Amino acid sequence: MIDLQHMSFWYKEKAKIFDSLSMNMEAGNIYGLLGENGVGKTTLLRIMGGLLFPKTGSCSVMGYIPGKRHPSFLSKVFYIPEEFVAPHQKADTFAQNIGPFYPNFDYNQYVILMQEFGVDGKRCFNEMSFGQKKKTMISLALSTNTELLLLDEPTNGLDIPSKTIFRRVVARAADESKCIVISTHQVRDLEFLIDPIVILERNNLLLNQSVAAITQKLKFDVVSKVPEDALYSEEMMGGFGVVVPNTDGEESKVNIELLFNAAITNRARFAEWFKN
Amino acid sequence: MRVIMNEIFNLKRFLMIVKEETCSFRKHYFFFVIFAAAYAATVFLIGRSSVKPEGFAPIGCILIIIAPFILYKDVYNKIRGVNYTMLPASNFEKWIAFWLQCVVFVPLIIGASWIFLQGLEFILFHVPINLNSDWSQIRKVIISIYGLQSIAMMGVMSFSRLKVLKTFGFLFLLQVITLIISSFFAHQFDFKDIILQSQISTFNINHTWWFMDYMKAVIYIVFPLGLWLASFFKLQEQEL
Repeated sequence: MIDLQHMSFWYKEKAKIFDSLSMNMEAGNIYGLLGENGVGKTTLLRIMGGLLFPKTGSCSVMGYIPGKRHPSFLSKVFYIPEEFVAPHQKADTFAQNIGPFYPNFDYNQYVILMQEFGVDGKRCFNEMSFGQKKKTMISLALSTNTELLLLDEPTNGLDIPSKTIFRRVVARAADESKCIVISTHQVRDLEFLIDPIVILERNNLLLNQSVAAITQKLKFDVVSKVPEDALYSEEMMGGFGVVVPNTDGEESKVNIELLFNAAITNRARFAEWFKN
Repeated sequence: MRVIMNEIFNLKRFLMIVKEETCSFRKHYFFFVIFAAAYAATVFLIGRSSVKPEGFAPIGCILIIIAPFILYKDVYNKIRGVNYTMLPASNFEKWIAFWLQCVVFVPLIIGASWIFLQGLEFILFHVPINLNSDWSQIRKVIISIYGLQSIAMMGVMSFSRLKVLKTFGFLFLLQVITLIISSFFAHQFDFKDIILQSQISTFNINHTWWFMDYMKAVIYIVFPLGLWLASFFKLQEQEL
C-alpha cells in the first residue's frame, strides 16, 4: 500500500529529516509509528498524505504519487493532524459537507460514532473542547471508510474513557483492505492496538516489524535481578523490566516502552536483527 | 479518457467544493456587506449633500481587491490549511472555485449591496438614482479592480505565511527595480534630444501610440489573466 524508496526529505539541506529511507506498509494492519521528538513522524505522515513532497527518491501510496494530489487518491486517504483548527460550523454540517467527497462515507456510521464518543454533533466546533473536536474528527475519519487513515497523536486530549472507545472503534474499523498509521508517544494508550511497530530514528528507519517477529527475537519480562545479556532494563514496580534476546523461543507480551528504549540504545544490534 | 477528465474536472465534485466554501465563507460575506454598508452610511450621514451612496464604491472596490487575502488567508497554513489541501478534489477544481469566489461571488455581493443602498436612499431620502453612468469609465474601473485583485490572488497562492506583507513587499521591490531600470534607460538614450527633432518626433509619436496600445494589451494579459493562470500553477506547488 505504501512504498517508500530511497526517499530523502529536508527543510534545510544540512539537517536532513530522512536520508534515503526505504520502507513498505501493507493493508490490513494498524501501524504504530514511534520515534523520539523531531525524528520526522509528522513529516512522514504529511509526505504520505501529499502535504509535503520528497526531495529525492519516491513515495508511492496505493500506486499514486501523493504529491500530485489526485482526487481519486485524496478520496482514499484521511489525515488527522495533531493540531487542527476546525471550521466555524456545526459538526454535523461539516460532516455533511465533507463526507460526500469520500465515496464510502457513511453518515449513519458517523452519527453512531459520535454517540459512542458522547459528542453532540449539533454543536458548533468553536463551542467544543479540544478533546471533543478530536473525537468529532476521529468519528468523521472512520466514517469516511478510506483505505488509508493517517492519525497523528490521536489520543492527545482524549479523556480516559474516550481512549478506551478510541481503541475499540479503531479496532472495529480495521479490516484487510485498510491501512491505519498511528503516530504516537502515548504507547500505553495503544499497546494492544498497534501491530506492526515502526520506530524511526534520525534520518532513517530503525524497526518495522510485526509484534510476532519482535517477540520471536526478544523477550520482555519483569525480574528481580537484571540478566547479563539484557539489552535494556529499567526499575519498575515489582523489580526490573528487561528486554533480553529470546533464546528459548518462549513468547512474551511486548512492552512497547521497553522495546522503544531498547531499540534506541542498541541501534546497531536492532539493525542487524531486524533487517527491515 | 473519461477517467482522466474525471481526475481533472468533475462537475458534482466542483459544486460540492463551491457549496462547502460558500458555507465556510458565509460570515465573511455578511461582514463585507455590513462593513461596506456601515461605511457608506457613515459617509452619507457626515457629508449628506456631497457623498451619497457612492461613498460605498471605494470601500467596495477595496474589499473586492483584498477579498482573496480575507477568504483564503489560511489556505497554506500548516495547521489551518490541512482540510483544504486534503479535500478530495483536483487542483483545477479548487482553483476554479477560488476564482469563482473572488472574481464572481464577492463582486456580485458587493454590487448587489450597492444597488440595494441606492434603492434604500431613493426610498428614504428621495435621492434620484443616477442611470447615466459612464460605462467606459466603469469598464476601466472593473478591469483595474480585477487587475489589482489578481495580484492579491497570486499573493495568496504564492506565500504560505504573511501573505499581505510579502505581496506588498514584493510589489514595492518590483516598483523599485522598475524605477531603477527606467531611469537607467532614460539616461542611456537622451529622449529629450530626439523629441526636439521634428521629423523624428512625428515618427516617435506614431510609434508611441502603437507602443501604448501594445503595452495596454500586455498589461491586460498579465493583469489579471496572467496572474490568474500563474496562481493556478502556484496552487499545485505549495507544500504545508
